[in-house]
Amino acid sequence: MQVFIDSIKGLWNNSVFTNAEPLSFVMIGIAFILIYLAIAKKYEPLLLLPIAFGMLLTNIPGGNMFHPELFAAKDIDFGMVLREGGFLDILYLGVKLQIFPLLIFLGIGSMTDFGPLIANPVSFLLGAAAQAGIFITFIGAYALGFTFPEASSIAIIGGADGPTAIWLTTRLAPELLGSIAVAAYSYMALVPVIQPPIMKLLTTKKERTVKMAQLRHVSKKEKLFFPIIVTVMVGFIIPDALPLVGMLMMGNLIKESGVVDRLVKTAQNELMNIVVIMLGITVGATATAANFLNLKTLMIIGLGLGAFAIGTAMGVLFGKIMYVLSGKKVNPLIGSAGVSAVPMAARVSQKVGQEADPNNYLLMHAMGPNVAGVIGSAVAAGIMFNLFG
Amino acid sequence: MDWNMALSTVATGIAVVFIILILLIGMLFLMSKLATIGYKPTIMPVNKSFTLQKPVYTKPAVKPEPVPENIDVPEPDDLEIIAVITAAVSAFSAANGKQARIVGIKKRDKQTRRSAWGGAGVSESMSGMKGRVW
Repeated sequence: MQVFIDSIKGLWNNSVFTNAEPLSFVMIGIAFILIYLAIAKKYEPLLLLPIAFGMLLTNIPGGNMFHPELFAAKDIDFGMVLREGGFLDILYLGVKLQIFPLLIFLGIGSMTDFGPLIANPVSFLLGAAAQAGIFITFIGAYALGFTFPEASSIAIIGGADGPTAIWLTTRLAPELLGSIAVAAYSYMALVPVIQPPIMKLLTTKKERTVKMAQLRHVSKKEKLFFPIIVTVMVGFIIPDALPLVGMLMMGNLIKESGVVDRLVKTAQNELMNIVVIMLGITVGATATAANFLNLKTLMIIGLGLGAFAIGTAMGVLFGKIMYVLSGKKVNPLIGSAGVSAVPMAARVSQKVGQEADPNNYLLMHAMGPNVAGVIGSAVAAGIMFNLFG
Repeated sequence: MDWNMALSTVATGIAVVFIILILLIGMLFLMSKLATIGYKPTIMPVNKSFTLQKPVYTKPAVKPEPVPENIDVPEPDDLEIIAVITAAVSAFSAANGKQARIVGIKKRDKQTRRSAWGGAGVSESMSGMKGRVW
């Protein structure tokens, strides 16, 4: 009988009810909210759901699945992680060693059609203009007291590219990873809410009704050369951006080559899905109460929204410049797609354009700036890492 | 606070992003020029002996059946398009040893709905994009 009572006492002493810190319950509550948003509202569920569940797992006291202290030092003791670490510590090595974000970029490349960008290369300018949101937010974050590496990691949220944000933050400000990942993916889910008011505010009805000429046909040869040219050019000029851009372009090359269907299917499906699960759950695990529940997180959420809004506005404003220079042949609405968030931002351009004219089809025109934004944000991340890494 | 560094980061960042992407634009233009060297669009030969016959309308001997009010009656121009599509379906099905016929025609409101071709184009463009994972 005494053994039974001791066992129950032991279980009780190890349970949440005796070990809990009040802030852990707040984090568990936030995890529940994110799970609700992912399932009920479908806010980026593929990533937000694993992130939210990782957040739940890491904040249940006594679970010992993730130990942030193992990764606090600049030089990680990998032996210690393997000996002492929990399940999520082991998986987190994939984030820390930048394996997961880069594999996701490989998958993205294998799913992306750069045809609209090749057909209309000027779209690159819209993708570049939208990256201004990153650099302007960098100033804002610095003014609020963040260090340069932290400000860079926060500003990259404006690139609207999850893997890029995770890649840069892991290297520059890993302690902010949870907050930045949650902010980045939440805002990407909110693109259809955030962008339309800004687009409508900055354009006239006449501009929104501009119908653009049909894009030219892009040959297979061009699609094959594109990833090779981009890899070589970006690699030569900004080698720090090569991991992201290189993997993106490799994924695209295997897709366009047409000779490795098995690899393409794996990159698009199995590999992507496995990595998404591991990336999501481990990024969520970094959102412990100590890391997440502070003023910095609130500022990151505010700055992230600012980065998104500024990026959208800069894209649309540059679209207006192109509207004038092209003799009213470019619809400025496609500029907002330059913030990446593929393909959601392009869909928003299409939707807002069709509200002004039901017969206007901007989707393929917006896909050009949209995929240019992916390259642009990867380049911006490379520049930031070069400066502060 | 090192504002010089902060501002120079912004200037450098925006400038470098633009420079790289402008260089890529140049490379793409060059690539498109090179890709079209030696390319000649295929032109179908024209049969000069062919002359378009004026359609002759002959009054039907049999009185047509009354058309119910709830059926959309196509415009004369639409009838030609329907005839062409019917011929294409017939030719396609005949090649497979089958017979097919058009049993109904429903007109769609052009103001609120996209055309079948537009719908097919959008559907093809969006396929593979569902379920964003990054």
